[in-house]
Amino acid sequence: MNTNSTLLAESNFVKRMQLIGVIATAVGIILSIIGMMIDMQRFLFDYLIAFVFWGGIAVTSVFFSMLQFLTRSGWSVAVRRIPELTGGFTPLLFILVLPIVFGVGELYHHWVHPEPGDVILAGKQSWLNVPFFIVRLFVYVGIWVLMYFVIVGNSFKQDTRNDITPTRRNWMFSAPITILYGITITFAAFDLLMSLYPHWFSTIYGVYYFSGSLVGALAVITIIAVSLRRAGLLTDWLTSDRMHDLGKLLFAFNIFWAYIAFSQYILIWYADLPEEIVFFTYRSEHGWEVVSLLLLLIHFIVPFFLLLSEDTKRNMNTLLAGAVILLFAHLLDMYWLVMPYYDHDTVTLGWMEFAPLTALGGLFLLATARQFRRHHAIPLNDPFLAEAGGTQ
Amino acid sequence: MNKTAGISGIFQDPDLVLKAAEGIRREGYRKYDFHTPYPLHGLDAAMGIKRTILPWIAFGAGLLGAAVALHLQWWTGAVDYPLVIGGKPFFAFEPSIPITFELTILATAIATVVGMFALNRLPQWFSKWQNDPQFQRATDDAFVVTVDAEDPLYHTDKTRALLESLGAEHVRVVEYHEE
Repeated sequence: MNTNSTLLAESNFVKRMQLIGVIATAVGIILSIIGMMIDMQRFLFDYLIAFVFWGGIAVTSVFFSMLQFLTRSGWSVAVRRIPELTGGFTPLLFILVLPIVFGVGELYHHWVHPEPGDVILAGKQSWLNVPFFIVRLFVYVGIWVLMYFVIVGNSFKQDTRNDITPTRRNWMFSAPITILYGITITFAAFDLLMSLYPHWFSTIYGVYYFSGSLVGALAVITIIAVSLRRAGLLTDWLTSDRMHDLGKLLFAFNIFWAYIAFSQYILIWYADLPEEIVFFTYRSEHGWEVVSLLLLLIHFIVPFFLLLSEDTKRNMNTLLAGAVILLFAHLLDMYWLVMPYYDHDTVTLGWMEFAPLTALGGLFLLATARQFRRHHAIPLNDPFLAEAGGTQ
Repeated sequence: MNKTAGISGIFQDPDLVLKAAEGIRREGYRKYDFHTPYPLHGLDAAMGIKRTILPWIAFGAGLLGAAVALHLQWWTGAVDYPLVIGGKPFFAFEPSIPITFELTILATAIATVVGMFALNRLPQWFSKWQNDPQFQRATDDAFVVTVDAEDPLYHTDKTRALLESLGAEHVRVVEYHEE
C-alpha cells in the first residue's frame, strides 16, 4: 500500500522551504547588521530571544525523537523523522552561540559588572563569572550536538541496515542521554535566561523553559506534518490517526506548560516577597501587563478550547491553527522572559526584535531542507514501522 | 421455557469481521453486534455506530464543577465568613485555581464514568447470549457475530445464509432459557 516516495529531495515542498530559508536568512542577516549598528545592546537581547527560541526547538526536537526510542514507541515512527530533520539545526548552535559569548558583558551586565557592595551577587560569583559561564555554554551545546549525532545518526543509519543494531544502540543510549538533556536544558535556562536578572531565582525555571520548548517543537512538527499532507506527500504514513496523536501531544504538553507556569506564579503570589515578586511586577506594569495577559490568552486559553475536541484535532485547518498559535505563543513567551530585562519601563517592540529571529529562522529552515534532501522522510527499516502504518 | 436469542457465528480473521459488519449493515439490520477479544480498529465505522455524546456530558460536567468550585470559594471566603488571612484578598482567582481545577476534574471524571455506564445501559445482569459456549469464545480466541431475533429483518434461513455468505463459521441458532 505504501506507494508514496520517502525521498523528498525533488519535491516542491523542500524546494519552497529552501527558498524561504534563503530569503529569510539573507533579509534577517542584513536587518541584524543594521540593528547592531543602531543599538548593540538591544540587538543582543533580540538575538538571545531568537537563540533560545530556535535553539530550544531544535534541541527539544532531538529530545522528542530520543523519547520515542526510550519508550520503544511504535505509533510515532511515522512522524519521528520530522523532528530528526529539524534537529539538523543543532550543530549550528556551536557557531550561533558566539554572539552571546561576545555580548556577555552587555546581556548579563548585572552580574558581569555587579554594583560594588552587592553581597548577594558576590556570593554567586563562583557560578556567575564570565570564564565559567562561557565554558558551560559550550558544554551545553556540546552535549546537545553529541545527542544529535548519536540519536539521529543511529536513526539515519537504520535506513540502510537490515539488522536493527542502530536502533538497539539508540534504545541503550536514549536513557543516559535523556538525563544529560534534562540537566543541560535546565542549566541552560538558568544561565541564558534566569541570570539576566541574577538576584531573582526560581527552581522551576528550567522545567518552564523545557515545557515551552517542547510545545514549540511539537508545534513545528505538526506544522510540517500538515504541510506535507497538504502537499500530498507521505500520505500513507501521515494518517488522520497520526495527526490526531500529534494534536493530543501538543494539547497535553501545552497544559503541562500552563501547569508549570501557574506553579511558579502561585508560589510567588502567595509569598509576596519583594525579591521574588519583582519578576511579576516587571511584567505587570508599563504596558507589560498587556503582554502578560496576551500570553495567558494565546498560550493557554485559546489553544486549550481550540484543541479540546477530537474533531478539531482531526481537522487539518484547526490543528494547523492551533499549532501556529502555539508556536507564536512560545515566541511571545521567550520575548516575555527576556525583554523586560532590557527595559521594563516600556514594551520594546519594533522591527529590530524580528531581525535575528528571521535570520535564525531562515537558517533553521535551510538546515531542515538540507536534511530533507539527504535523508528519507520516513525511518525505513525501523522495527516498528509496520506498527505505525496507516490504520485508516 | 426456551426462547430464541438469535443467530451467532464466529470469525477468525479481523479483516473479514470489518467486511461482514458492513455487509450486515447494508442489508438493513439494526439489532446485531460483534463481540471481540480485543478492540478492533474501524469496527465502529464499519457498523455505522454514531459518535458518542459522552464528551459533551463530560464537558458540561467540567464547566459545572468549575462554577461550583468558584462559587463555593467566593461564598465561603468573601460572603459568609470573611477572614483576613495573611493580608490576602477575601476572594481572588489566583489561589482559587487549584481547587477549581480539582473540582473540575472530579466532576468530569464522575460524569464520564456514570455517563459511560448509563449510555451503555450498564450494569446488565443477564445477557441472552451469555450461556452459549460459542459466544464465550469472544473472550478467548474468536470474533463472534450475533444477530438478535428481535430484529425486524430476522429470518432464520435468510439471516443464516447472509452470515455464511459473509464468511462466518459455525453459524447456528442460539436459544436461552427464561424462567
